Amino acid sequence: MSSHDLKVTSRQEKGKQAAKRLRREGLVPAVAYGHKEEPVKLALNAKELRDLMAHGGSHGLLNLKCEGAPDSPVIIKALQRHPVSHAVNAVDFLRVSLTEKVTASVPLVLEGEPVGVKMDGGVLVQALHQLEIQAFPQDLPEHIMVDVSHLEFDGAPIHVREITLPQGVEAMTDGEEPVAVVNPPALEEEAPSSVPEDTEADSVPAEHGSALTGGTTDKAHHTGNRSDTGEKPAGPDNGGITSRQADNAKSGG
Amino acid sequence: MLMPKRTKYRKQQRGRRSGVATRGNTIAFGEYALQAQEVGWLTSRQIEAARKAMTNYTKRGGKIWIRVFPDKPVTQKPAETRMGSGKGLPEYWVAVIKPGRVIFEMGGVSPVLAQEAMRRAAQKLPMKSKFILREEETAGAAASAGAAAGGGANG
Repeated sequence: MSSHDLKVTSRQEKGKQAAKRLRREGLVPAVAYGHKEEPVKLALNAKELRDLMAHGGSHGLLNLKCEGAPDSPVIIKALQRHPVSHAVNAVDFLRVSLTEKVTASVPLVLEGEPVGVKMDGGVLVQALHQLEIQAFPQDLPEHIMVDVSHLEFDGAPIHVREITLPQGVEAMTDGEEPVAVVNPPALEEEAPSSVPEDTEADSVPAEHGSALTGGTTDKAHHTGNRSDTGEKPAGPDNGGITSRQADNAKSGG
Repeated sequence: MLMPKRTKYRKQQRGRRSGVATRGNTIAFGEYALQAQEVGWLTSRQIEAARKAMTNYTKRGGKIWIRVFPDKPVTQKPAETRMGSGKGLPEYWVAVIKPGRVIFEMGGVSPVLAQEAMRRAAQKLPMKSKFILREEETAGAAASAGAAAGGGANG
């Protein structure tokens, strides 16, 4: 696999405020470490990084090009994203040697429509989305394709050991781990919906009371009747108010 | 409807709802998800309504995961009650949702079907939400790599 080039600049300032400043300028704070060298603080263009990831360059070998420093082969070790905007907040690069094997996670992509889905209307469920592999950095694939076209309805799943890996790539995940399976469609979905109906039925007599008194309370257990627990506090309160209102009305008139 | 089987205390304080979801903000099981964009309380009824909307639209195809659980009791005083005389009675259960929280996940269906099903589910929710895909969310985030041999300093 060919490596992608990525332009970076070194930076001196560190900390939260400096990182925020960088992000405002359209840059992403990054760090490169590993391979028995000191960590280096970097910054890179957010748009360039987005383009790189859009073209699947984030799982393989990258070539960091920094002014005044020799090119360095790296892989992305960690990538922090904003939980809402999904914008990349920070990147960790791991320096690698082209002569040493590295362990990395690559996405598994299912291809083909399973027989069990096409013929019997089953549901294809992917249990494993990332595969941990070991390979030389230059051999790291962007993704691994898994052919699922032979999967049968409610049959045996595809295991990790059955995946055909590219040359020079070794799977580190347990071979017995299931990757994908065709399950029967969820017919039992009706079951949870019947529960609320019962609960609602219980709570109907309680009108002002609680729909969930039975859920937690000790009072509910003592009284033994949900609707009682719901109504009891309401009753005396209302009564009290009515009599007070009546008194006020008398004194006022 | 979803509710805890038993809890240690019957009533809770309302709490604050600032910040973003620091946990449960990535797709864990399926291929598609509905992610909250605003803060709010999601009641067990709303969760159930949204789930039904999705299940009904997909004709029970695919698989749905509910990633939130309403474990916070909300109390209410009865109507026409004067103030005082203590906190009201527990009325319903809510899940506290912060921006970024993945509420539902779906898998085993086409993206078009999933998007429409989640659009229908989103209409039952009290906050803005967004349909997200696993690829978009995890693009590039996966290469959690460590040198197998000779991994050096970290920083």
